[in-house]
Amino acid sequence: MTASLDTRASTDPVLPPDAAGESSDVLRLPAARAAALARRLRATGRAADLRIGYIGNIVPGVLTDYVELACAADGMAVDSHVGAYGQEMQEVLSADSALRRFAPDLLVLTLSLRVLAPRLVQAYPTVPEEERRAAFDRVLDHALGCVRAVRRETGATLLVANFPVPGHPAAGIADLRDPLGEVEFVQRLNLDLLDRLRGETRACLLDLDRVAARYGKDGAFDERLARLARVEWRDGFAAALAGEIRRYARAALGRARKCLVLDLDGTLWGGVLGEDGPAGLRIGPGSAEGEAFLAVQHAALALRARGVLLAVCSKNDPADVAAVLAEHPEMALRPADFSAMEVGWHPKPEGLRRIARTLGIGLDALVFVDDNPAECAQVRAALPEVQVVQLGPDPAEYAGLIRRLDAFETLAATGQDAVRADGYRVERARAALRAEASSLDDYLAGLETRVRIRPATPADLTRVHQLINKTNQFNLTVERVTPGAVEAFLDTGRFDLRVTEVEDRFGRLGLVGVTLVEHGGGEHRAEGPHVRLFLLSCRALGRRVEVAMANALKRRWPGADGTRALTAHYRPAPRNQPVADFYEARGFTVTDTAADGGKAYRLAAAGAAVEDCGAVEVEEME
Amino acid sequence: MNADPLHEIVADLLDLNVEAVTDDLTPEDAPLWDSLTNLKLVTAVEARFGVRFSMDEILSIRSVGTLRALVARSAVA
Repeated sequence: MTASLDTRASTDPVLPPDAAGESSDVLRLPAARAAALARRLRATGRAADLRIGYIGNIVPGVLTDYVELACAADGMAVDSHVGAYGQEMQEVLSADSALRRFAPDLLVLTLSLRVLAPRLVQAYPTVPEEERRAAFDRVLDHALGCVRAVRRETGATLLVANFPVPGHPAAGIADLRDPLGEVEFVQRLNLDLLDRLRGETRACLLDLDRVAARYGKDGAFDERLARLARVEWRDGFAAALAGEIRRYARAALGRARKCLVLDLDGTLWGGVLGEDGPAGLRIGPGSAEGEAFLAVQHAALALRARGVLLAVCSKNDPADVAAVLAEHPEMALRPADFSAMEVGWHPKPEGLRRIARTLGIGLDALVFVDDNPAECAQVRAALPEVQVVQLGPDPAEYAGLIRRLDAFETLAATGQDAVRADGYRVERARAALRAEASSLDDYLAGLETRVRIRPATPADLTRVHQLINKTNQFNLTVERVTPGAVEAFLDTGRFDLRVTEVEDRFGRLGLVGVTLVEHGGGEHRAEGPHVRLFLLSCRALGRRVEVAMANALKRRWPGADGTRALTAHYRPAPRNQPVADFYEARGFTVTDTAADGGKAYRLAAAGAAVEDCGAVEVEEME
Repeated sequence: MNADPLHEIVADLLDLNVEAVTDDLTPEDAPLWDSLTNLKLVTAVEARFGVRFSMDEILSIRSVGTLRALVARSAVA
């Protein structure tokens, strides 16, 4: 799966104009319209970014249409395959099943208690406790059996839907006194599933029960359809579930946005700083409005704790803003929480561009929040890549709106994410050293950079997946991959996957670099070893870490002539132009040049000398 | 002229031009009209016209015309 993921299909010719970009809208389309649009999308025959399979004993019905549409509105082309009803294990275990041939990246497993434990669903109070417990174990074992089979037999990431807690237990309020009552049965089942899936790298819980609760359980399920065709979900609930699945699709493709950019007046606080002065701002307890704005600040802090960067883009006097952020007693957000500040009188699109540049991320990684419709319109028009959240008239709604954003989804909060936001603050300390140091060499020596290059382990996979899919600048091949593909890279018979960790006197930069060498064959049909991935987070650029990584490759595959030589390639992408000549600079020989600027290389004996990494201390591990 | 809303739903789900849809259309005439699509028709029509059919009524559907009659009956009831 190497489709170009950098273009967002906001101008998709098939989707209705109002749906393009405003991805939530397609989920409000009537199901018939959704079906017709999804069919037209499929007819365009475009290559899939993501292949989604469905297995289990609930017929997904319109769910697949809504998932395809919702993802398309977000620039992700999805192919779907619905496995044979009730044959989830057969589909997974048999190597030539239609599902296995489809080779899904994501696999959605939805199981029905109507089918797995019919007696319990029909008349729970008549079932003896031992039988309930036996059914509990049977259902859980079946679900976990699917998880193991999928992990063993496929490269897919499995989404296991949990079970809707019944809204109307057969025993009424007495159900809650029953040892293992009907409600408790499903709640415990869902908790056990949660516990058992937590440690899985390629299986996640799909919280169907929560989506149903959000949607309204009384209106989510359809008895008639369940009896007539094993379709259990009403159309509107299927659409809601599609919205949840899109979060996983986005995470699997590494499409999460990275930075929340906030306006100040009317967004983070009530009032206008330039007119009302610091004392006139409404923040914090004492007024309903002030509490609402404080809630917005806490919602932003919660995102920051997840690793989302915070930035400010505001038309204000910089000194006034600095004073409020540092000194206003009721502010929850403080200067250290922000990774970038654009305060001044320039147009906001300009500020957003600078924020992206400062943080080394793309405009398509920004979410911009503002209460001013004119500012929002200007940003939408000038920077269509930026997701714009326009706040309405009532501040009470703002915090909830930020909490509902699904733009920042990652499959797992890696430890790396949590340190990242801090990392940008440490970066400022590094910048201060840079300003003091008299020469670049002095600066680099003063950083005391230590680099460790080692083979990847299973514990690194989440971070490696994230890094592969997020790195845009220093990325020689810009190949995006699914978690399953990353797991396959650990097969040392076929691959050599190495990670690079960096720390310096200011702290840990963490796992920032990845190289992947494929031992012959593979997609590039190289006869000998081929460098398929070579990438480094922008946080670690400019201190010769990339040279150390190239040295590690050279030491392992010293220059050779003929077919045993190490080969490599550069594939141009929207933001990796700066590394177009990286391999030449490291001594590789160009063997082929493509019309699009792509290049192929070989490491000949003459170019294979390792290079000096200056003050950087390098440790290579076998 | 706006198309008949019922015919629009049928056209969307059966991949037909709305002009080609008549009340006489039956599952035998449209290759996509299988039992699952039949249910999609039902839920789409229910949502559009604010009605609700029983299982018996769903099983009685033989043509676009039956759907129209069911809508009329439910709307009165």
